[in-house]
Amino acid sequence: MVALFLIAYVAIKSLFLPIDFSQWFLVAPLVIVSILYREKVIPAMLAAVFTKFLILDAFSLISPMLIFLTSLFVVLTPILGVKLLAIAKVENFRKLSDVDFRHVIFIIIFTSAIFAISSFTLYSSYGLIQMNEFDYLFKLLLGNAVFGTLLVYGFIKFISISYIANYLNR
Amino acid sequence: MNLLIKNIQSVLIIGLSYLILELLHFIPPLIGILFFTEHADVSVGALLFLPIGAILFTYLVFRESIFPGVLILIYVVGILMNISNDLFWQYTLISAFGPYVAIRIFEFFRLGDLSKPFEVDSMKLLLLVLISALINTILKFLSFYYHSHESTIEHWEHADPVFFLMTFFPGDIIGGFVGVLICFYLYPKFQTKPLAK
Repeated sequence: MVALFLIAYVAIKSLFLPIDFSQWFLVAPLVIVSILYREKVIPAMLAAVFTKFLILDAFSLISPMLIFLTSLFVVLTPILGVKLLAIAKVENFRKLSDVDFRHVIFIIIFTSAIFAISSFTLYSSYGLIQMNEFDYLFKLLLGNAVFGTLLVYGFIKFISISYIANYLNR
Repeated sequence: MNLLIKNIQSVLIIGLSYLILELLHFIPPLIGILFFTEHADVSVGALLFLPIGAILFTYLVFRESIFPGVLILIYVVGILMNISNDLFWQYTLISAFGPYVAIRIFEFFRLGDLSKPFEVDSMKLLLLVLISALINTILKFLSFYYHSHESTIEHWEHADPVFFLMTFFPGDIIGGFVGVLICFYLYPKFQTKPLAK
């Protein structure tokens, strides 16, 4: 799994060098946390994403209210995906051992698509995108979907391995 | 023969949805609320894009058998709307096959059973419309901006990417959901009952 992750990382890094990498690691933790704890952790997620936009991306020129609204949009998207699957009686994520991984992949792709659109809207409306619109949206969408899937899969495998190790040591 | 009837039915349903959309253009107050432009523009979406719902409905009911009918109709609509040559085939293929791809994605991710379309929940339909809207918006956006640097498209100079996304995406969701619900409500009323022997 680690080897696969490294190969995918190197391959994708060589393909899409110009994009900002910090964007690609945002969706996976949001999806994991929203599947595990659902709406209970919205304030923590909001604080994390807001800090990320404000400090790491040096967005101090933009009004904080707009950054807050975008963060809210980004945070609510995976929660919305989880809730939508629960309301449509597809998957309620109550018993994690019975979760179909395809539903998790769907939430990751759904979140990355909405994240790409909202992020593009914020960045572009203030003229902060230096590259072509096609490149930006395509790479952000593909990078988030691929990295999100890999990271979530790796996280689930890590949890199961650590669970087995704990069980054996007991 | 059955195939021909299915194609004609799908062409009528989708054509009617395009006709309603065009007729709404004649109501002046709606131009500012729903359409933003007086004539159809490739970079500005309508906030009530009913045809995507109609196409989704016809694919749900008739499945793959209506590919030729839908493709011919969207081709004709593209000619009538004067879509520029650079974008013509991309927009036609995305409009014609995007909803079908959404249905296949819905089934691939095991989000529900669509074999009996009239018994599907409205929430599952909303999920399907969301997927369809995402595919339609993102693929049209990518195809519009693919040749943006060396393109000769005259629309491109006036196009605003933020306005593109902010009109296409909500418009596809609202129009798709409304269109699907209207079709599911009206279609059984036009079905003829079999004659008693």
